[in-house]
Amino acid sequence: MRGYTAKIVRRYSKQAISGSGQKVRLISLADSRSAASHLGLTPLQVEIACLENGVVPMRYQRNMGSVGIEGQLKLLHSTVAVCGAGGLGGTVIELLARQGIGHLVIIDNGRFVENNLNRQVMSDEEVLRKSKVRIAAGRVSRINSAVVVRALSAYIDQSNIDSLLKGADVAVDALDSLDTRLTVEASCRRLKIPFVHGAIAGFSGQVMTILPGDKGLAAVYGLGPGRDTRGIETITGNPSATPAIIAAWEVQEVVKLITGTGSLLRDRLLFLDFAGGSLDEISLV
Amino acid sequence: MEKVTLQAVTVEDALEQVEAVYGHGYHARLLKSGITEKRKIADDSNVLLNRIHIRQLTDHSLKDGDHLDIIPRFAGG
Repeated sequence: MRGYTAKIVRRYSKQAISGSGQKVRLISLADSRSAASHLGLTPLQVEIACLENGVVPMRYQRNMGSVGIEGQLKLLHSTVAVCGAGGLGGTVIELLARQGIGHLVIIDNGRFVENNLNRQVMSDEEVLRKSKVRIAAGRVSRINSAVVVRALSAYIDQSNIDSLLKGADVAVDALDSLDTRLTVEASCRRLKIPFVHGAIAGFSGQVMTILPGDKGLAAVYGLGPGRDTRGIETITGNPSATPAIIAAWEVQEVVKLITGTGSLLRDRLLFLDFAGGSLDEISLV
Repeated sequence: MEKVTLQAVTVEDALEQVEAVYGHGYHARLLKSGITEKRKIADDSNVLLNRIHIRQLTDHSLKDGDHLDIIPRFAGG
């Protein structure tokens, strides 16, 4: 069967010359879907079969130089849980779908309201009052129909977080409350899942990747009596570009985690001040 | 991010000095945002003494060479 699958995906593909002058076999979206129909496989299974046989789906052609076929296969085999589908989450979801993460779990219990429109890329005037996770799932299927989405309309708490995250390879922080962040971080430690943290306020934001055993959010926010669940975003608000930049950086961390490329932001908080045009790293160890 | 060297006995003393030097600019930024409430820098910040949050420390006294990080507290998403 594997030999037959290889033969079919190669038949649907075409040889081309890459930007660096090397020969590469490519398959278009239409031909990939035809191959899926021919083989009785899902779009995701066909994309994986293509890459395993040295055939690059055109949609990932521009990923090859940075992650390669092996990296793209790891991404397609992976499951990423995105906690929150608002400002950070919308952009995280959009970019992960375009990058070619195979499985997305999207968790949010909210519905779009008008004050989301300035920054939440999944929102528009047509979707006000509609479920964020449903709209996000629909958007992902239009961007990349190979991605398998679990859209979970749920309020995250200690009683459900382990089951929500079970099976994920990475969890992404796109939350708007410190308490919920700590709940997710604790679950990630129990389940031994990396947690990519991001938070924003006004013209500033921060990013950090937390592996089980790392110091994590307690080192940044402190714990115990007097802990605040909100930050200065209650004063500064969140303008349009801030979540997009921080979310994009979180996605880079996810891709690095899954593909094993680059250096992670472990035990160091990256602090970005867009108003002052500065970027600082605060070491936690 | 600005870096300053201070002479202080405790974390609270150091934060008061930071407030005195930088508080004016901070409050001007808040006023521009329409915020009139008087807030201290420390009220809206995470303060780390030698890379440990001060809420996790019982002793806030300082010695030569100690390092304080004052990071605005973000929780937005």
